[in-house]
Amino acid sequence: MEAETTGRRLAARQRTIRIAAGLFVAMLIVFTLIGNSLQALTLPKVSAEKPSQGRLSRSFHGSAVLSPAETADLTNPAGWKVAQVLVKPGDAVHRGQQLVSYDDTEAQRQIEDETAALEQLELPKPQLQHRYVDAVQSGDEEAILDARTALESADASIRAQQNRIERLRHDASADRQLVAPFDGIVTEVHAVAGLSAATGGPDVRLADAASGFQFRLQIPAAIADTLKPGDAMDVRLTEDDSRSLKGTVAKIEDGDAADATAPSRSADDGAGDMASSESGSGAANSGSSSETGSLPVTVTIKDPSLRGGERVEVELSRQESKDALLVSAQAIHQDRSGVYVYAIEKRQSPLGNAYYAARRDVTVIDENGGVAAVGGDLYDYDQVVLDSSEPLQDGVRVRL
Amino acid sequence: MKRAREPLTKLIYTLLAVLPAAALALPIVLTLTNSLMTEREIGSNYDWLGKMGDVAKGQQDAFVNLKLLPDWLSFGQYAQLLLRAPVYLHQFWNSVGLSAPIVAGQTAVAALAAYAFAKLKFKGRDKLFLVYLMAMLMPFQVTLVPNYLIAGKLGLLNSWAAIIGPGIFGAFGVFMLRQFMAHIPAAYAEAARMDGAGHGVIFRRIVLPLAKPGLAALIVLLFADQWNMVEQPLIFLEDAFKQPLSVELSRINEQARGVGFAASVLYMIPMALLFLYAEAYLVQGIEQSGIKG
Repeated sequence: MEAETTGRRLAARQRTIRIAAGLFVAMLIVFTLIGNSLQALTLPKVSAEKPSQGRLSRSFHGSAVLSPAETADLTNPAGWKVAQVLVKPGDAVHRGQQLVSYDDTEAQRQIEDETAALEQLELPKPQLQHRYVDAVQSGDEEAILDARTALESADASIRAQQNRIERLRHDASADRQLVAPFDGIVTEVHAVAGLSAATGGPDVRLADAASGFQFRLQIPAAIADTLKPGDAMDVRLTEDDSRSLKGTVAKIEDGDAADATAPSRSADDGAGDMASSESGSGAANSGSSSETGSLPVTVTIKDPSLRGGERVEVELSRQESKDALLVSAQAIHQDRSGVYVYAIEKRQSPLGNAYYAARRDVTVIDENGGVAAVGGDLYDYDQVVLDSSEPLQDGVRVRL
Repeated sequence: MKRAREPLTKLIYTLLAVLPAAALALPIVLTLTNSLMTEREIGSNYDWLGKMGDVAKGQQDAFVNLKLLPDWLSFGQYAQLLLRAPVYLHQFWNSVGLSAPIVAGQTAVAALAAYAFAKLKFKGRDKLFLVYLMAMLMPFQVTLVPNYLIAGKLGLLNSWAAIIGPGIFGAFGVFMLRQFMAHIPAAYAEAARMDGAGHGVIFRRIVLPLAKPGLAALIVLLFADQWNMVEQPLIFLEDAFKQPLSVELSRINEQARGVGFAASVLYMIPMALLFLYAEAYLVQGIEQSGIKG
């Protein structure tokens, strides 16, 4: 009897325990499933890309205005008044062509004065000749010498005066007009009829057609480094797209030299890199091609159809010579300890794939626009984190 | 005279029983109550551990405060354990996955072997059993290195098979069940044989049911042993996600104390449930083993 009740109580208790155990296991399973999902929800979400193998290309697009390569400033050295201006800006003139004619009345007057003086010198001459004849007839040695000296000195004065007049005439005829010394195009005319010695510049500025035109561009140092004087460059007119002209690189200058407002190089060499690129005057140290500065480059161009003052455009592009891993510049971060990117590492487990952000230190070889070529702890099978919903840290688990 | 002393004797005996019981139960109660405390409270209690100075030298002396009741009842630790950090539950299932096959496997294999050792007669039976005995008596660390080398050669390193395999073929179960089965009267088996039963029928229908208490005891003991194993997973398993929860609990550090308490409570429950369930059989077995003949 007792055994029976104990048996029944035992069975009842065991059933309770069985139920309790079942509930326990069920609860654990539920919590396991919920926990996994909850954890995945709180992970930062990232977007990733695969780096590509390739070459970084840079391009530059610039425009400038053509100006004459060689010009000559022509002025009247005598400073006479201008009688007539025979050319205007833009005219093409050839060598020897008259440009400006000057009023030579002053010179003429001077010649007249000198001619009058000459006449005056010639006046005593018959008298001296007469005296000479007399002296010879008288036979006086001293008188002969005296008379001859007087005659010769008068002749000399007359000759000198004649030379002077000759010179004056020659100068007057030369200075009467301004003549083009070479073939070219008139760029500026400052001479005004009626005024003497043009104010504010030469009477005529002439552009030498033979030497062509030039323009100046600020080209980024990285591309400018590949150019050297003598290189050909494709140039296009802004107005007339159909033609493409060939220009030649004439000169590449250092950034600092061109900009008068650049900070003195010796003063802050260390901080000079920052300062000079801010002021836009190019690389502070020659040879550092990764600076973001630009260098002024002068290009000459020769074409009979050009007039000067046209706007031209240049497009240059350059590709790096070696392959490198290219990643978006957005993926690169920097902090106190260096430059790095986050790569995604996959770890497999029975619970599924887990992705972790791993920090990889890289060095930026080159950068252009939104793309950077990097080297370092990165391989082309890695995936690089572009953007994340939360700031990442090394080793943090992420959700793709 | 006896009657007058009875209440006093009773009291003394009660105290003699209760006090050690309380002392033994204290850690468990502490685990339970500390799991209901916030992390900060646990810190205020135990942070002084290891930092108490020598009063004679003028340093600060402090006592560790073993609080039995939380100031502020909070289930945050359980929320952390069950919802926010699924790694603990994952390791709990690892423990289950490691222990259950071992317990089930060893019980099955040992029952068969024990039947053979107890009921069958064959040449070299006793000598073989002596070998089993020696194997059981050797500490686990002695066979650790050969086990590791064999597991390496078999390519089982870093997998559960390296732990479950040797576990299933342990000698302890054989020994214990053999003792139990030896106590079963041979008359039962003989009677069954006379009715035409073969070994299989005898084993299944007669011996096993009679050996239920032994099986229950074996299961409880095996489970207690395997559920708490720490060295084998540390040595044979490399990946952290394959480790059982016992390893994680052995590594509780200052950062994860609160969750450690909650995880310990969680870890105790299966053991407690199993014991409560098997207790009936154990008691039954103890009662029955007195019967002979």
